[in-house]
Amino acid sequence: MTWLALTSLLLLCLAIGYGFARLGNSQSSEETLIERINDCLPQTQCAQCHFPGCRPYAEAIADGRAGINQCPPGGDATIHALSELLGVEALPLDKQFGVSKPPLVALIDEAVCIGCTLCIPPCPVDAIVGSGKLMHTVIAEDCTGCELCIAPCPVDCISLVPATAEITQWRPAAPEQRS
Amino acid sequence: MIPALQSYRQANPAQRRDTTRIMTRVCWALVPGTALMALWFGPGVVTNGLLLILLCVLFEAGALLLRQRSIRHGLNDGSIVLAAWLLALCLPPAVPMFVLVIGAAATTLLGKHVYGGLGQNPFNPAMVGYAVLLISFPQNTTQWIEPQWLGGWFNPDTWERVWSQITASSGVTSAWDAVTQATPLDQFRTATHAASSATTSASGMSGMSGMSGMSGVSGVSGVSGVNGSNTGIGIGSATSIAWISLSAAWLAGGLYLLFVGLIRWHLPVAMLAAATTTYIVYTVWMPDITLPLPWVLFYGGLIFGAFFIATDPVTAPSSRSARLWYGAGIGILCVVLRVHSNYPEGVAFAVLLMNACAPLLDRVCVRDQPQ
Amino acid sequence: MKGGLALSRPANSTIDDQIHTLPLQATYYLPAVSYSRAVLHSQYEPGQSVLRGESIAQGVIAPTSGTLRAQVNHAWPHPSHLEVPTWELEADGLDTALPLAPLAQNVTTQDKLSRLTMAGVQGLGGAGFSTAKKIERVLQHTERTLIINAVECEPGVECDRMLMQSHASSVIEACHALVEWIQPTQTLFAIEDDKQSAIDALTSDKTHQQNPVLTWVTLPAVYPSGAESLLVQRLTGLHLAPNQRAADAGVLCVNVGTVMAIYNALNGNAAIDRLISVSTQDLMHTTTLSVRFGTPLNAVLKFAASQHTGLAEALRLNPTAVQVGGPLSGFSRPIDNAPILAGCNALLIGPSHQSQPPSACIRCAECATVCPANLLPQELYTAARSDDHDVLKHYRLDACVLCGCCDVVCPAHIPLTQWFRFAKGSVAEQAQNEADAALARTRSEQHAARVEQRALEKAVADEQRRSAAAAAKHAKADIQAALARVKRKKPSA
Ligand code: SF4
Ligand code: SF4
Ligand code: SF4
Ligand code: SF4
Ligand code: SF4
Repeated sequence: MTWLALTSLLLLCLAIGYGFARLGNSQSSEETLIERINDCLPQTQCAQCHFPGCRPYAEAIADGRAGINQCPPGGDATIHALSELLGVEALPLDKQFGVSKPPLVALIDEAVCIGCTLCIPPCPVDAIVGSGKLMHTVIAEDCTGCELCIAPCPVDCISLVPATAEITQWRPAAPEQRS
Repeated sequence: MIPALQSYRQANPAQRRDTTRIMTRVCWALVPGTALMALWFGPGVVTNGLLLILLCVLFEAGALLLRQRSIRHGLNDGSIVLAAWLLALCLPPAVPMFVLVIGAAATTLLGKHVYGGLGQNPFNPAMVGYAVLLISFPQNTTQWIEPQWLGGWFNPDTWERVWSQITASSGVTSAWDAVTQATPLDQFRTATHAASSATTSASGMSGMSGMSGMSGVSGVSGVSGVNGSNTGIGIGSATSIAWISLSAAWLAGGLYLLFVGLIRWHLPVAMLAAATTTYIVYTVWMPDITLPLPWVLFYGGLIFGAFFIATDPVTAPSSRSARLWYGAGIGILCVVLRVHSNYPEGVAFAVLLMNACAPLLDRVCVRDQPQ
Repeated sequence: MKGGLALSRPANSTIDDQIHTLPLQATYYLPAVSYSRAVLHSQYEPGQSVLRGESIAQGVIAPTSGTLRAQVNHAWPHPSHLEVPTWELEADGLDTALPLAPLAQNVTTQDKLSRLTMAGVQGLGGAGFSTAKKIERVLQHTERTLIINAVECEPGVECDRMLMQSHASSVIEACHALVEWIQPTQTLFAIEDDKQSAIDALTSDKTHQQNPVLTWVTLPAVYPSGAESLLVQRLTGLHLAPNQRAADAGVLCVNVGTVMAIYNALNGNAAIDRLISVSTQDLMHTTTLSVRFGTPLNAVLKFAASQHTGLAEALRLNPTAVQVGGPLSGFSRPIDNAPILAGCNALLIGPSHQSQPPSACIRCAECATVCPANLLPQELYTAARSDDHDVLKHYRLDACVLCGCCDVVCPAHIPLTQWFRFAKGSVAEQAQNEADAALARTRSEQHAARVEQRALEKAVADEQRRSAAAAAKHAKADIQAALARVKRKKPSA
């Protein structure tokens, strides 16, 4: 009787363990893990994390080569999402990589632009249009505000402005919480 | 308040709500039952209540202080007074002070503040306190005296006894010995156990002795009868009149709460119906259980529990269908525990068990909410 | 509809049964911001003169003729209390209308829709969606239902009732015109049973009696039965999925005031004004005004006070703040020259309510009992506090109509609706961020692919060039060798 009970318990444990193992396996293949990490990243592609874009950073996190607190544009929300996903502790953003800023977009001062095209290659999302000797302009909807086009410009005519009007960004505040 | 709604609220008194007002009203609904209980069981009922309220308020204030919350605001809602009062009503008269302190601590701290205070606690605080006492001090929490109409109040002897009880430093006291009596449910349980072990097992006597070993600590060792009808709880005895009248008073209070719209019918009705059904199933299954049905409902804390304990909004589920299931669960568990457990009454544990299921019920029953 | 609150006016309150029209103002303020808070652009230059009914930007119509001044940041009647870029229109006092001919019977649907857009017709029930867009969506369905929403359920809002009562025949005519155009299988005219005077006026109309295309649906006066999603669900049994509009399911639900605006637009009159109820906070005195969009708030109140002594007294006692919108749905703002816009149906004069400090939720589920959308506000509240979007979704935050019923009954005085506004904003913001991220991601992947492709092409080209150079070198060597041979041969020749 006792043996029967013990054996059935053992079998049950094995079955449940096998089930969990199957469950875990189906989700943890390398490729989907990188994808899911990448989904948590803000896709600004600014390289502030010291990787050449969000996906390389995601690969580095998956390999354990980078921490989860290196993405300034994502800020706390991204760190939180990553810590949920990976089951690791949420750390504050590492300031060495930069600080979180409100969403910005690049704006080219079209009067100053000399049309040298130097700003086009660095843009990770092809948000700048223009061709040689002609005035260039930024498509604001596509620009992620990554700032990579700022440095190459020889006449410093690119600046960053708030992505949307204050009124568009406004959202209702949470009620005051009293203790 | 929005001035335009004033007319609406005047027309709908049930809508003039406020947490403090709700708690106060529930306390009012407890008054008749408490008064009746004090008349039957003497001044010990009142001392229990007052001491517990005082202790719980102190613990609550301390907890709020430690948690850096506003004490005034925290005490203002009156929920702790209600919890203390409910706990006091579960205890036999004149429980020793140290037991009350532990009960108050369990209710306030373990029942409420470890989870983050009012509204966050998954378990009914009063029942947490009661369960702790029931397990830790079975003797003090089940030792009821024989009810006596007005008897205790005009007898200097009683006051002396109450005093020596309260100041007792250990759970084993001799002051009550002469007058202690098992509650009808104790006797019922003993009888049922005897019946069930006789019908279901050949080793009836060993089962019985095991039980009496257990029940020795719950203060019913003195009861040797096997059948409810010859142990002094028959119709007409002071004991049965006391318990039945008490339940009637709780019922009246509960109906008041229903009437003013502070509770809804789903939960108590489901609970009482389920308890009745379960009991009927038991009588079919074990015909030796001879206690008549009304006695099952009216002896013990079933009615009290249905209207005052289970309806605690914080720990009950909130959708209507979930409340039906929840009430039914308590009703069934209550009777099952009465028949099978080592404790004479199952309401407290039934409520606590179903408290644990409440979030699940809420989650499952959300299906019938929005489309 | 389950839940809701049976609200009513105080028993001895008075309603002024007349519509007063505001005189022409010197200046009108036209915000360059849409209802969904997008900044609008326009080709109009400062100093340009415009005529009444001229469309300055998408949905912005000049309420009178005059001169546009440069955009300035100006007060805006919105809970954000932010200032937005606003055109100032200096009236020339002539009030010359843009000549818009009534549309002929046989014009195409497209013409009618563009006329509605040009005339600035938008929902007057509160949300302010473009009516043309709504109708366009409905017309894509073959089975159509038309619901005319005259369920003005919030106490203190009387403008629809006043419209129906004073202009019954125009309302009926407008309804018939809309039915003619939309060709619905069914037309429901939803109205509350406490508007008997309006019902009488409409049903005794001759046109209606001759051609009764409207099916009357009389609903008990329970707030908020006029909320569009609830009304549609109640009348058609249609359950809308998250983010689905009634129009997407072939149901056109329009406010009765909007029906009039559609009718006027098709007949050449742009949507430049609306009716507004002005009451005291205790709803003891109410009057109805016809106000042009862009009229400053303080001018409206001053005029209302001049028409009604009860209001004048209330305004004298409370000269600084006013509630914009009904008692439950409105918000308080200072009395200044913020403009009146299409979504504003009521103004309440008097001290706005002081909310009691909230305490902990005791899970009494009163809020769930009154919730007309059949939600569990207490669960939504917990989720909103922890900003947990999955749980908010599970409990259908999207179905919340922000009616405020739950606030009213909550014994813990929790500002539930404010939490839900906050949570909706948070969810929308996250959705926006996700959409932005998805776009940036696709574009960066395309960019990366293109860079790689270029590199590959370059490598191929380099390779070709190298092999070509090598081939050329070979060729050269061959020629030289040949020459050398020739040379060698020459002397012997
Ligand atoms: S730091 Fe920039 S590139 Fe790196 S993950 Fe964040 S957004 Fe992407
Ligand atoms: S335009 Fe400049 S800031 Fe914007 S995405 Fe391109 S490189 Fe980044
Ligand atoms: S780098 Fe500067 S100057 Fe050159 S094209 Fe870009 S914006 Fe114009
Ligand atoms: S009404 Fe208020 S206290 Fe009651 S459940 Fe809802 S939020 Fe909680
Ligand atoms: S505000 Fe939302 S949750 Fe509250 S009652 Fe209205 S619909 Fe329900």
